[in-house]
Amino acid sequence: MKDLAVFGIGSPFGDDRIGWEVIASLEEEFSTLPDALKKRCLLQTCDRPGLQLINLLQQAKTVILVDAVNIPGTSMGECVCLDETGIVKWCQAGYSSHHWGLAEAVQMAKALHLLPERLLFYGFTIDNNIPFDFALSRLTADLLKKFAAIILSTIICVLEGEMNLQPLGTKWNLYDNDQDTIS
Amino acid sequence: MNKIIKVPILTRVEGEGALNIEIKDNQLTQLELKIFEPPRLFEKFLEGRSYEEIVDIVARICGICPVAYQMSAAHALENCFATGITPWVREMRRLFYCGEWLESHNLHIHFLALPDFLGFQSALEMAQKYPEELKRGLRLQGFGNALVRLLGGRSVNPVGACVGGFYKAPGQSAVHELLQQAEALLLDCQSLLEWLARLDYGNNTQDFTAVCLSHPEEYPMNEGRIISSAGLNIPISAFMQYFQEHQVPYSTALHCLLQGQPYLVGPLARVNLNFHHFPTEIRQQMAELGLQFPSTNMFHSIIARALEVYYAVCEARRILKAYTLPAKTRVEVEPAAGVGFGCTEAPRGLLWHQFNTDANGTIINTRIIPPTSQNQARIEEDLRQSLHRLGLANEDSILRNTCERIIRNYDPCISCSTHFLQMTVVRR
Repeated sequence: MKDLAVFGIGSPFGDDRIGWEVIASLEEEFSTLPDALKKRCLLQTCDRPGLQLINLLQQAKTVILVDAVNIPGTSMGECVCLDETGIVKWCQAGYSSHHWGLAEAVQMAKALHLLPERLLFYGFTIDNNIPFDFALSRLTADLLKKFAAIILSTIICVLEGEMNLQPLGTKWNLYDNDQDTIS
Repeated sequence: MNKIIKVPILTRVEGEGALNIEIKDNQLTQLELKIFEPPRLFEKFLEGRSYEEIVDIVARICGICPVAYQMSAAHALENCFATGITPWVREMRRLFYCGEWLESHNLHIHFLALPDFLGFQSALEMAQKYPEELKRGLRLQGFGNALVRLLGGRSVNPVGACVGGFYKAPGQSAVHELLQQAEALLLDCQSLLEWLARLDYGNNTQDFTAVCLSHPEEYPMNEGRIISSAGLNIPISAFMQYFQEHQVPYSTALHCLLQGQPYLVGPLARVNLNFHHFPTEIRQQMAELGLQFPSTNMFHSIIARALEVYYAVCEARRILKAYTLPAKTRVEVEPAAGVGFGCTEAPRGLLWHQFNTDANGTIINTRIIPPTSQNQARIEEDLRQSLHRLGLANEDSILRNTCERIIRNYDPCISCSTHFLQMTVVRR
């Protein structure tokens, strides 16, 4: 079992692929990290995992999930950091098979006592109307590196044993770094 | 008295459907299962495409059973071009299918159907009382995903299959790892079957015609003739002479009838007609449990799925154990003008494809008949019989719950309707 796994969840369509693009960005950054840190961490993309997310949550002591979100009270250009309670509250099934999306899978994992020791979720707010093309929107592409950098700093904190991570249940604006509570 | 019952959305199925019922003088005068998925028009999408694109495109018809669409299409095109496949490809395609059956059946058994039979509103509620059983279901489903990834590169819209075979052979270490998983899961399969055998499903005994593939030497997946419990025995090329699709005005999904009558495809049909092909250990456990097939209780579909789960793990173990790297992973394909047919056993039943191609292998036209379309008429027939047996004077909530359970028992993949449940009951 790895110390940390980061799963970029998404689909090929439009901004819903932000999770995959974050993983690609992180893989580039990882090339500069010491081997001793790199080998303790798994980076992986997931295409609409549904209930199989529960099996993925078993792969590390700490799991970070990255996905597109559309949470009331947030806007494009903002991202959120949530724990499992926040995931269940804010990430109910949108485009998913048999209505088994991220929140439902986390709820089931919790019910089956299959959550990892620590679960974090980073969500990037996208528009609710996902186009059927295969590229990020201009706005999302412009903010990708900033979003990935936030997640990278969390990865390094986790691998270095730092327990004081971003406050959960918050949103922040990637343009001006303003932070606020999700309500 | 007029009465309206609405079931807004049929939960725990793939896609969207609705049910309209009219009851007049305590007689069921109208029953319409409405599928309102937008018509996918995949048959038109494929026209003008090269045969080399087809296997990847048809995988997008269904997110739950992409392997089935890929296999039926590949076989149809190989039939069109008179291309034979190697024994290695044949075995790998069976392994691929084992993966899909395991994924699909375990999802349905544990997370869609069992809450109905155990009296829970959802699998999440069921998890409080049956956590170990659901974890077992996840293990079995996860193994299925791993098999699909082994050959397909990924479990969602796999990309490893092609006309003539596969693009790449799995490595020996990956195969060995999965073999070990298969060995460990046999006990899970036995436990699952034993548990399901002891549950009470109620009596939904009906007369129906079962239809599936039949092969002289094996439990059918990719090859065989089409047979029925009423004596039909035809080559897959003769499908359209006996089975006719027609449009019903209230649904975007076509209905399919066998010589004018509804029929059943899927695990119960397969197990009823192919039980003798199961390995000894499976048949022995069934004898010890006192369960017999063929069964005419529609609710035994869940046991049929569990039998196929057990079979898929046994078959996967057999294939993985005998695995060797091939000299070539696919045969050379020479496209040709012609007509070809493919018919394989998707998790939900027969999936039939026909392709007409030109001399370059470009698709002129195609016909795709998925299993859920074939079961539409049977589902309506089941609903009529079951509602009459239940009693039409029952409260709306009881009628609605019964209808949902019956429809969900077929594991309908409504989104596959290539050419869920607001229920309206009108009582006069």
